[in-house]
Amino acid sequence: MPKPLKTFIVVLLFGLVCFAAPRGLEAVLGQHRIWIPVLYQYLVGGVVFALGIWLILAKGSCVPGRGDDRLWLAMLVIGFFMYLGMHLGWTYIALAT
Amino acid sequence: MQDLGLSLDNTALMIVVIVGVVYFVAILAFGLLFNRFSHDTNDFFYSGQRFPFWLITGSMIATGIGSYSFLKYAQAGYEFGMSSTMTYLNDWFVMPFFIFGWLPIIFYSKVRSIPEYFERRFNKTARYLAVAVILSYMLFYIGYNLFTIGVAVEGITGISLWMSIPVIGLVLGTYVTLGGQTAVIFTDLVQGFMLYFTGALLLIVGVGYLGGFGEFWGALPVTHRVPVLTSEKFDAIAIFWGEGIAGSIAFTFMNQGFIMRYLSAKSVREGKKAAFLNVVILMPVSAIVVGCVGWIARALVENGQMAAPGDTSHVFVHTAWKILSGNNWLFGFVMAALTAALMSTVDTLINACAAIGINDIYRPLVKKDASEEHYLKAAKLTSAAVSVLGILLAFLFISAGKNLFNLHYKGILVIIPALVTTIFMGAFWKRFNATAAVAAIAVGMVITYSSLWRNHGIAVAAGLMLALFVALAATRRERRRGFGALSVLMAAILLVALVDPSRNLIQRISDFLGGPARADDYFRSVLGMGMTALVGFVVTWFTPEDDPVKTRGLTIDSLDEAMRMFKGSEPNFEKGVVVRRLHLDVVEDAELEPGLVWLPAPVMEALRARDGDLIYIADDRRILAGLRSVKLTARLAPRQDATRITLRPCDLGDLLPHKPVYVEKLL
Repeated sequence: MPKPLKTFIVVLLFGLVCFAAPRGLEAVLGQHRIWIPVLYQYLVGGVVFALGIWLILAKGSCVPGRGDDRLWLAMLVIGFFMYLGMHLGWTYIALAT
Repeated sequence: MQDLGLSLDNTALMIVVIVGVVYFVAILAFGLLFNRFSHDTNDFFYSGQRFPFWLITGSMIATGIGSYSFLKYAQAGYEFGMSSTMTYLNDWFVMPFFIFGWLPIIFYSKVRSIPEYFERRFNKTARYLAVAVILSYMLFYIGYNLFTIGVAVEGITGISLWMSIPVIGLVLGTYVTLGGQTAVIFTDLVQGFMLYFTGALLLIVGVGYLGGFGEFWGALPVTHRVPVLTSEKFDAIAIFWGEGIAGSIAFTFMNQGFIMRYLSAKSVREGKKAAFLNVVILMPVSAIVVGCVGWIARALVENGQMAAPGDTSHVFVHTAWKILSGNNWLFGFVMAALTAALMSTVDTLINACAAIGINDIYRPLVKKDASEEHYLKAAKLTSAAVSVLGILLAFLFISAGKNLFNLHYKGILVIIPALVTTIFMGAFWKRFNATAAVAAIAVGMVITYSSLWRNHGIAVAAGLMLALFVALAATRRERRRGFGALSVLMAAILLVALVDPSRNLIQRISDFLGGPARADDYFRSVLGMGMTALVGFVVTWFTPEDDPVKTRGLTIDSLDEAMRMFKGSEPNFEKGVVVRRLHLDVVEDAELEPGLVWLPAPVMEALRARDGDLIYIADDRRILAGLRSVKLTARLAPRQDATRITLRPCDLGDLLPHKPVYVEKLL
């Protein structure tokens, strides 16, 4: 596939996620609106994060198995889920108490 | 003073001032201790790239918390609750790009400023466009910090902002002009701990004042307890785009002060550790430290223990005074912390502005081959000039009013999008060329600025640019395709802006992304970034590729090459250990060339080092944090004493010959 077309598809898909995320969440969580912003943040932000991981692996700046790249990659992914867990837990406690 | 409800009598005011002055003098003296470690402009601006991660991380606490942070986030915490933490807690999404992209690129390519990167990656025009934008961005921050501390001083003493800002700015300018990056890092480290201590003090005392954590939590409305909120006045989706994406990229990729801090690390690995700890630990703690006073204020008001403040921009000062029960000494300490926050942010920015002034303007354009002593003097004079400019900008903010939260975003979100997008595309897309970069910055900036006048502004800007690009396409045969493509793009933008002039283009973006009904300031950055990226893509596809040799080591595709160029030989990724308690032999030996160090075989083996590897040698006393250290190239020693390493006197740097050292392989 030609590179410009590939880039265009990636941008289009990203745009689609950005468009669909708030509407999809609204439709699914209409009764629990307070959860929408936090889930939106991690859905769209998650796509940005995943694009970053894909880019650094595809371009060879992160090579698992070279030096401590694998460790850093793992820490990046763990950090993402740590933040996600923290925000979800915090919201849950705020609503439950 | 009366409108704040503070009852400071003359004695109390005197105590507050005494605490502040004592603190200021102590920090000044401490900072000057490190002045002797600045031998040239590399030391003055980048501390000789020798510090471990913990020092970089620790010093970032105070750099990341400006005096505006205390005032702005206390205000946001009071109005919107714990969602005030959002700005600090949404940086993780861009971390892969920074840790494996931008950080190694700037470190290994040995660029000294973002504009310098622009010239090497693109051309001179891109460099000077970047100089203009980055200087505006940093001067804005300096002026903004001076303005906010003026607001706090006015709140406590009643002294007019027109009086306090010049006095504070001039005193501060004198202090930062005398220090260098090393002094900035060490003073910021101390001030960072002081800020955290202050935050903890206010949180504990405030929660105690309310009767305990249960009472504090229970008094807050649910909307003030959740960490990510969308309400009528606060939209999380807007904050996500404006702060989490545009703001985070700007702060990590474009903030020259932070870039210089990372460049002070002894290696990329230490820089990665610093960045990681900064986002995982420091940012969450900082978010609590700067926002907690606002949350406590809201709980106090909800409980009926405090009247609702009339002017919420004073909520920090008002609440601190209230919960400290009028204790003059503690209140003086808190106000000193506010000053610390100002000093530690502004000193970094003044140093960064001076670095750009010298490296991007004075050295290449005014005086090319002067001595290092001359450049040091010029750097200090530039620092002084930057301080004066910051004061003048702060005056502008006084005229603009006191809505801190909006003022901050209005300025930043108009300034940053075009440059941030260009940096990002330059680092991560090899094909992105110089013509496209210049066009993207210029068009992106014009469209972003013009959007301040809504669709009418965008239509006028697009129309004017359309005429310009059509003329250029007709006259510049060699770039006809690029200008032609830009003309078509401008015509499309003009059409979109004219189809329904009453409906703001920014509002359409907001609607598309699920944002609020009125979110101009946040979505303006999305418009700017999108427009810049669009122009970048279009022009790149319609113009020839730059010489690939020019981009070597400057994009994510060529990091291996960047490492090779940085080291001068093939990188060595084998993991070794740090070898401690070694002794120095400092000799003039004809066989030992300058820049080399002889390491005995057991040490080479422990380090997993080979001839030609980059070695870091530092005083073994950990408390010095690499202050006395050098970087040299390893050679296997002809003599084999396992506890001694050999180097020439000219390579000793700040090391003390009689003190034991430790060695570590860097690359």
